[in-house]
Amino acid sequence: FGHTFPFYAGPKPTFPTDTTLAVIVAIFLTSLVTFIIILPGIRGKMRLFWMLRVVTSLFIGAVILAVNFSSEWSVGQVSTNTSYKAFSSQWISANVGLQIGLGGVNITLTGTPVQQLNETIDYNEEFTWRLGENYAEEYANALEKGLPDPVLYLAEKFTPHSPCGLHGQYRLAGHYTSAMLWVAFLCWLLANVMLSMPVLVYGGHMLLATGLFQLLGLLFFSTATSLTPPCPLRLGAATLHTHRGPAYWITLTTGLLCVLLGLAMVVAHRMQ
Amino acid sequence: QNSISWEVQRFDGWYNNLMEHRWGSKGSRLQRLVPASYADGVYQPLGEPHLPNPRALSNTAMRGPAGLASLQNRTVLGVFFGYHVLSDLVSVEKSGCPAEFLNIHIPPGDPVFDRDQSGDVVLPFQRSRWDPETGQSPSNPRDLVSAAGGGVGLAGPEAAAERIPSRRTHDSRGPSPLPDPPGRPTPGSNIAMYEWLPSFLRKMPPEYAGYRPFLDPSISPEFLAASEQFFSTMVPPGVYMRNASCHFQGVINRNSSVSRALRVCNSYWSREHPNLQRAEDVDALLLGMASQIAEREDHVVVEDVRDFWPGPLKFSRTDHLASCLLRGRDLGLPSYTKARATLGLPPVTRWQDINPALSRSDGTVLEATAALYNQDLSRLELLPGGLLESHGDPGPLFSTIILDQFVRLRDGDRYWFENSKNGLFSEREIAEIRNTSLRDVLVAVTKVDSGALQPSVFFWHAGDPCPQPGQLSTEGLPACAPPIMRDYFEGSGFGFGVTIGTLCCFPLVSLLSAWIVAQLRRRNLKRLQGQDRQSIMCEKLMGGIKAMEWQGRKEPCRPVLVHLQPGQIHMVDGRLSVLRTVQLRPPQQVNLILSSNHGRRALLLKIPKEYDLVLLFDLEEERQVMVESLRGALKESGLNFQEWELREQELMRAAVTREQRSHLLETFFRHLFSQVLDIDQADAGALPLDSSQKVQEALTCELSRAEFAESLGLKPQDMFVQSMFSLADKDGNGYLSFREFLDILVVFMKGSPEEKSRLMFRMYDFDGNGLISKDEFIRMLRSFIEISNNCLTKTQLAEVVESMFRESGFQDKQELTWEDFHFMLRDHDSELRFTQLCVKGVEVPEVIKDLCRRASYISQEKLCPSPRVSARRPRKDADIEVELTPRRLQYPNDTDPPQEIRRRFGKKVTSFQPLLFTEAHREKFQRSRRHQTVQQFKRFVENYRRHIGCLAVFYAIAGGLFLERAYYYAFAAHHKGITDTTRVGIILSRGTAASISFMFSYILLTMCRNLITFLRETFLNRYVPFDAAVDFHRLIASTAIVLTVLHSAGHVVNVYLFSISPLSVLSCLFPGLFHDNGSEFPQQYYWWFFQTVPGLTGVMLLLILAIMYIFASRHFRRCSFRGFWLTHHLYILLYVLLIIHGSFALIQLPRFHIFFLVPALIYVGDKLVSLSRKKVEISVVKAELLPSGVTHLEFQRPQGFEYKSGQWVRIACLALGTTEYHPFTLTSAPHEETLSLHIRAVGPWTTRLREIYSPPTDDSCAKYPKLYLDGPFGEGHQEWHKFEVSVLVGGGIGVTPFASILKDLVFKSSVSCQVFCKKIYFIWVTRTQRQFEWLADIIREVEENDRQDLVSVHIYITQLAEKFDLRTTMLYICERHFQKVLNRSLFTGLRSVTHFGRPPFEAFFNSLQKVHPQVRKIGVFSCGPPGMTKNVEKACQLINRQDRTHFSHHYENF
Ligand SMILES: Cc1cc2nc3c(=O)[nH]c(=O)nc-3n(C[C@H](O)[C@H](O)[C@H](O)COP(=O)(O)OP(=O)(O)OC[C@H]3O[C@@H](n4cnc5c(N)ncnc54)[C@H](O)[C@@H]3O)c2cc1C
Ligand SMILES: NC(=O)C1=CN([C@@H]2O[C@H](COP(=O)(O)OP(=O)(O)OC[C@H]3O[C@@H](n4cnc5c(N)ncnc54)[C@H](OP(=O)(O)O)[C@@H]3O)[C@@H](O)[C@H]2O)C=CC1
Ligand code: HEM
Ligand code: HEM
Ligand SMILES: [Ca+2]
Ligand SMILES: [Ca+2]
Ligand code: NA
Ligand code: NA
Repeated sequence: FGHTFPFYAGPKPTFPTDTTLAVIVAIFLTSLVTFIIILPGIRGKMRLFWMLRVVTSLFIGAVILAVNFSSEWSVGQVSTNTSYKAFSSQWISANVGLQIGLGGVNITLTGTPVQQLNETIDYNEEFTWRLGENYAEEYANALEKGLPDPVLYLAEKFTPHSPCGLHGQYRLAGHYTSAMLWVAFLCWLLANVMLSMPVLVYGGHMLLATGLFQLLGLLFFSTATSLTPPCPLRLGAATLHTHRGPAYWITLTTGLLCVLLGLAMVVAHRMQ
Repeated sequence: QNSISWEVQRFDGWYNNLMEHRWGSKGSRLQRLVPASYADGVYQPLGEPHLPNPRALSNTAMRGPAGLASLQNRTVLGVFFGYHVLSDLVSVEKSGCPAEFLNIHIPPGDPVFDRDQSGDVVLPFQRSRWDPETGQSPSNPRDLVSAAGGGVGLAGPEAAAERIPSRRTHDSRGPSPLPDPPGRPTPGSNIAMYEWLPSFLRKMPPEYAGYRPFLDPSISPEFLAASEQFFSTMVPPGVYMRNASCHFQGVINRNSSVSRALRVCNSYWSREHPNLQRAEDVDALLLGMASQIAEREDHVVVEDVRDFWPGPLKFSRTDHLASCLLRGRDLGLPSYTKARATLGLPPVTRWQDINPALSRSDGTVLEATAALYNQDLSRLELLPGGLLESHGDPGPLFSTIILDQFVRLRDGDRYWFENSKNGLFSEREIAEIRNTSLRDVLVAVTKVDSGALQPSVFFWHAGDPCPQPGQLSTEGLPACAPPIMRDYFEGSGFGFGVTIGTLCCFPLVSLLSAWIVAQLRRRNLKRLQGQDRQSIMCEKLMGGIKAMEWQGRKEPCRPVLVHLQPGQIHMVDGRLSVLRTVQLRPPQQVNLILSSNHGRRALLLKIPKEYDLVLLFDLEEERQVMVESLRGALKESGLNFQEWELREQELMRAAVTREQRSHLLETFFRHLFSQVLDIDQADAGALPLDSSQKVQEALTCELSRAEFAESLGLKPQDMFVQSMFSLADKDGNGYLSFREFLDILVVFMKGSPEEKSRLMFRMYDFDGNGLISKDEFIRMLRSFIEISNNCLTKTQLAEVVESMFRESGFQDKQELTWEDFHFMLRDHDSELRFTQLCVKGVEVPEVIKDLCRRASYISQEKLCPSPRVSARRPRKDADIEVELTPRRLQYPNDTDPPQEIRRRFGKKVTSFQPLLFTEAHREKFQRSRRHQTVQQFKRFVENYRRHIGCLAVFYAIAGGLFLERAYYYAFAAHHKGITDTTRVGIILSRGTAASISFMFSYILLTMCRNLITFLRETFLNRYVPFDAAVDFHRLIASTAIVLTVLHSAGHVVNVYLFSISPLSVLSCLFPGLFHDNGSEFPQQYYWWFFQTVPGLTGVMLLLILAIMYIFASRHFRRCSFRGFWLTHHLYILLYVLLIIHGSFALIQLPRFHIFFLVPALIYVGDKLVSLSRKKVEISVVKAELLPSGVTHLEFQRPQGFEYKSGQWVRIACLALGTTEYHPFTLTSAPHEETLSLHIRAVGPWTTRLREIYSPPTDDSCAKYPKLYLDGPFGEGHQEWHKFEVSVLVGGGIGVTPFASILKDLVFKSSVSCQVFCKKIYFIWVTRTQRQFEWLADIIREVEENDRQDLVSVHIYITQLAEKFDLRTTMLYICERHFQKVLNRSLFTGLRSVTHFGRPPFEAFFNSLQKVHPQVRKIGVFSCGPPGMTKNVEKACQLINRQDRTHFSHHYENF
């Protein structure tokens, strides 16, 4: 290090992706890799069958779990000019994103370009309303922290006392959908146990249940979110509109897949 | 009673304000006058290129000559008093955590710091402490916190003048001390506010209007920077000392020269100054300062401050001005123009307007500064701007800031002395304080006459007493000591290396001690053996020469007696049984090699074609005796011999040991069989790619008689071996060469019947007279029978021969010619043409069978059973076609036309029942190495699925723990700052620590033997391979040690980095351990290793692990199991130390105990169960060493020990000195008197068991060590009797339960004829027959007792080609090419049929349905490797799908 140590300076590295997602993916990938190691020990055509079966099953499990923690159930994005911060009259041009998950919202603010007013404008802030967490407090903390105006504006719309009513609506929807997904996950576990025991029909039933619970969860989410008219979210001149996000659609797909597979198994068993 | 009338003020400033307790307290935020200005709006300081380099700026704007006097005649005393006021009020000196550095990059060629023009000099500058609640977003930029409490204000007990004396003792950093004003009331605040401040600003603060509780007295960062900066311009290069009578005394410098004044740069920071030893010296200093005029109030700063300011320890000098500039940037101070605007001062738009006077007198400074700022006035920072403003007085900016601060401090201070409401002082006292000046204080303290001081000590005007001799400049003062760079690690390198080297040596030390233990044991053993030998000698042995035979590096030496006979050397053991015979034949060239060192007691006899004989003697004389007689014997046998001498080690290296020889032979056989057998192409696979030299050696190798016998699994004395050997040994040299062996094999396997019978004829024509006598014929028969077992008496045999002769019409002949012989053999097979016969074993049995029938030795029925024949399916591929051999059928020869066979069989088949399909299934043997390994891998994975799964889960958890910590320290622990100090080290050490904690905790579960025993009976065994617990234990241990080494390596890196990090960094990392007092060196490496709890315990842990692991290694465990067992119990200490290791919470809170708790509780519980188990000692009745490493133990049946066949017990052996129980299946049947076990030596325990129960060398009747017995356990397969037909499938070691079952079955069927069971098929799957030879004995026993033909046995040998051991191969040859003797396989002696390949379960079950059409339910019991039981299960499922016989499968895995 010569004589200059330890005058280290330099940027602090940040983990590139969402950690929860990374953990879920890592767990399921590890299971997959283990299975792939075991795969050569399975003989003949069964190998392909098992491969398909395990990959599908792991995929379903991973999706149910990941979607539960995802914040992309409802998403919206708008590019606008907006005021930036307190004690400053300057405006910035930025992309504002809103991602609503089951447990909270995620608000992103990315300057276009990122460097404006001598500052790096790249925010990704989370506000949660999961059980045991206090949204209002988080919002107060954000105020104290001094987050930029657009972020605070959006977060404020989701506070319990905001006349928008978004909080109650999304929180309720989120709670129930999340609960349904947990039940679906349990069913998925049971389905796997049963499928590896010689009670295939029950496995099929469980798979069916997995799918149905996922769909039920989606139903909760859609009804609750479509009941009240959305509150207009104006950022500068533009208005932010939200629509269903990838988490919603992928849940729908896997839910349908589970239902189909489950039905197929049940029907096949009836036919036998 | 000492009650006082005023409220006591806190030192830290808390509660000064009644509403806002924190205001002005120590650790509170600095309050900005102007919004912060940071590069990112949040906390990143502005810097180059936006702003100039601080040193460049200091060089440009603040450089100048010393010696210009203050324009207002301010005294030096005022400057130093100011410093003290400030240091009381404000200090941000405390560096922030985590450490952040804004370094001063010295411009290349700087005259002070970069004299050798290296251009890479960097002065460290650490950012100061900030409020962690700020600095997170642009609306809330970073705010610093004050280290001193501004709220204490200018009043109270802590006021400046009063605190001065104490600093002398506890703060060595302070400037030269000032005297101690005695007693209360305190005049300090008055002096500061009303005497010093006006003198400094030349402006009186506004009148005191009373306490203003809503005024926040907090220090502003602008004040902090401005005041300090301004003083520095007034600091002189030196300070005068004088006495009361105006005598300015000289100062003695370090180099003993005398100068006019104390040099500031050399005195600041020096605690024991030679010129300041006595109290009077301090007085002299104060008086000197009062007379000395300070430097001018301008932009120029003397070199003492600018170039030679004391730096941090690492760099002895720094640029105070540059540091101040950086501090300003660290504080996020606004620009000059912004500050002016905010503070309401008139705007400045041109550079000249900053200081019109200066621009007039020396405009270049402003121009150069403007150039540094790119002529952009808006960028000009507050500090240089404020400094450039000053001309004779602080400029308007600084004045405003300072005055504002002082007024706020006064008015917002509840304890201000003028505040009459605080009850501190009475009006009178207030007035008194107001009238006290610093002069009064000084006069009181220094005891000088008041005439020696001017009334206003902050000015010296003309006419005041004692004028200074002249304005001080650097001239005539000693030069400042140049900067020094200190390397904290200097001198530690060697010690550090040695320490690490020592740590690395731990395993070596442990290795050494293990070696010593092993050596001691070996010596003990030798002594014992020596005693044995002594007694043997005395008792019996004459005629032989006693010696020790050395058998190889790894084998033990054995005591032998050497008998020299003509042509032979015999070696016998204590009981005179022959251990080895060496043939001495004339053409041999014998080498006799003698050792030349170590007491000259070794002798090596190299005889070609034998493994070498190495004898060790106690004394050289003994050896001499041996050599003499050897010479004699060799001469007598007419052998050439040569004698050599070698050193003992070389001699032993030169010796070809038995093991080496057997490797050679293996190659020999491989080549031999690949020459002869079909398996050459199909099954043998590629011969190992031996080096051609090895092959060459093997091909020139010759087989001795003993080796030949051994390779056949027969005794050398057996007649078959004898005659076969002498027949094959064409040149009669007593050895079989490759050629000779090949010739005879070719005849056996490929030759015509004539050739074969001729061969046999020659073989049994013992006297070689070309005729076979009756006697010889009898001997021939006996030799066949010998091979399996002797079932005929001599008279019976004679009878057999008589009748054979009679039947062939040779009743009157005494001797047979070859033609007779040939005819006789042919004559006795009516069904098969002679040409189809194979040679020797072939014909005879048929004959014997006939005879036996007559002798009614074996029941009629048994001899002519209904043959179960399988159709032969000719295949194109190279499958080995092995057929279920009907009793009377032998293998078709290669010359045999298949159609004919089929015709023949076909005819038979029609007359019999459906066939049982038992043909072995073999996949095509692949020659390619790659394919082979792939195949092996698949098989491995199939059987080790559970292992892989469990390992994956375990290691995934361990890896996850590692990653979690790695993630934390790499990305999430920025607030700790440790990542910046030691990134790799901390990630590695903490990550591995987490994994280690997990592994060392859960390793305990692998040793919960009771729990495992219990669980392996449950369904969990399907998912968790409990039997692999010990392997798993080892695996965990070996992974953990790797991680431990990484952990320690990580900490070595950490320790290195910690010992070169300055205290300011360390105090951030370890706030509990280090205090950044700025004056001490960081702790050195040895402190970390040996004086911290984790370090010391870590080193101890390393030592313990070194001991444990070395002693646990396979080698030392074998040498000294006791050593292993004792050292292994260090694990208790290990856990204790591990808990202590983390308990110090150096880096993070301890976690080990969290991992440890659960497994530890389980383990303790398990141990308690073990302890509470009652133990009965059981004596062993009989112990037998069977081939293939199997030990047969027979022991007493404890009272009331009831068990069912197929159950298992756990035994511990007392002699093994442990409480280690191992499970073994009972091989005795429940009706037997004693219990018996067959134990295969596979691991340490079983191997040692075998050693212990090997028959004692002395003659005393066996006193075997006793056993502990626990059990019986397991449900076994006791349900077999509930089925009419059962199939038992045993694979590998999984056959053991069936041994008992079979015995039991046969017994029951013979005793009570009421057994429901009608037929039992026993399928035995094994890799090579050799692995479980002992089972053959049991099967033979079963077969003998099985009068009702209840049991049908099929043996499947699966790895003929892969394993290729000679015995199995010979078995293969014999089963293929030779008829069985007496219905029994020539080699196994069993009736059962041997197949080569894996059993075709599905086809077998299918045919079973046909064989037993009336049976509705068949029980299948399988036990063995999971892959096999799985296959059985699958086959059953497949068959059960059809609506026919139900196969009900029960299985157990081993
Ligand atoms: C129910 C049962 C019945 C058995 N019956 C027989 C038998 O009749 N004859 C026979 O030769 N062997 C039998 N075995 C296997 C025998 O227990 C092991 O070979 C023996 O314990 C090996 O111990 P080791 O220390 O010498 O070998 P190691 O090298 O320590 O182990 C070799 C292998 O044996 C197994 N093993 C080791 N220790 C134990 C233990 N304490 N408990 C269970 N498995 C262990 C492990 O799978 C290991 O991989 C049986 C095992 C079980 C579980
Ligand atoms: N606890 C466990 O799960 C296992 C432990 N082991 C350990 O390995 C050592 C040796 O084991 P051992 O008992 O001798 O067993 P082996 O591995 O030697 O197997 C015994 C026999 O079973 C055959 N076999 C294996 N799988 C199948 C299958 N799917 N279908 C038909 N036949 C099959 C093998 O044939 P082939 O030669 O063709 O493979 C072999 O002839 C023991 O110490 C044991 O502890 C071994 C296996 C599993
Ligand atoms: C390479 C390293 C190791 C090897 C080869 C090894 C091997 C073994 C073996 C073979 C046994 C069984 C002894 C017997 O029953 O005969 C055993 C027992 C045990 N080992 Fe280890 N071990 C190793 C490391 C460790 C470590 C690091 C620990 C703990 C931290 C440990 C803890 C234990 C415990 C608790 C037992 C049980 C002792 C008892 O039953 O009383 N081992 N080890
Ligand atoms: C030179 C040798 C070693 C040094 C200098 C060292 C140093 C350290 C240090 C500084 C810590 C952090 C403790 C804390 O945060 O308070 C630690 C933790 C740990 N070390 Fe070591 N160590 C050494 C050897 C070992 C060895 C040989 C082992 C294994 C047996 C080991 C196992 C652990 C574990 C398990 C932890 C985590 C403790 C906990 O979280 O409770 N260390 N070590
Ligand atoms: Ca020969
Ligand atoms: Ca003869
Ligand atoms: Na103070
Ligand atoms: Na000056």
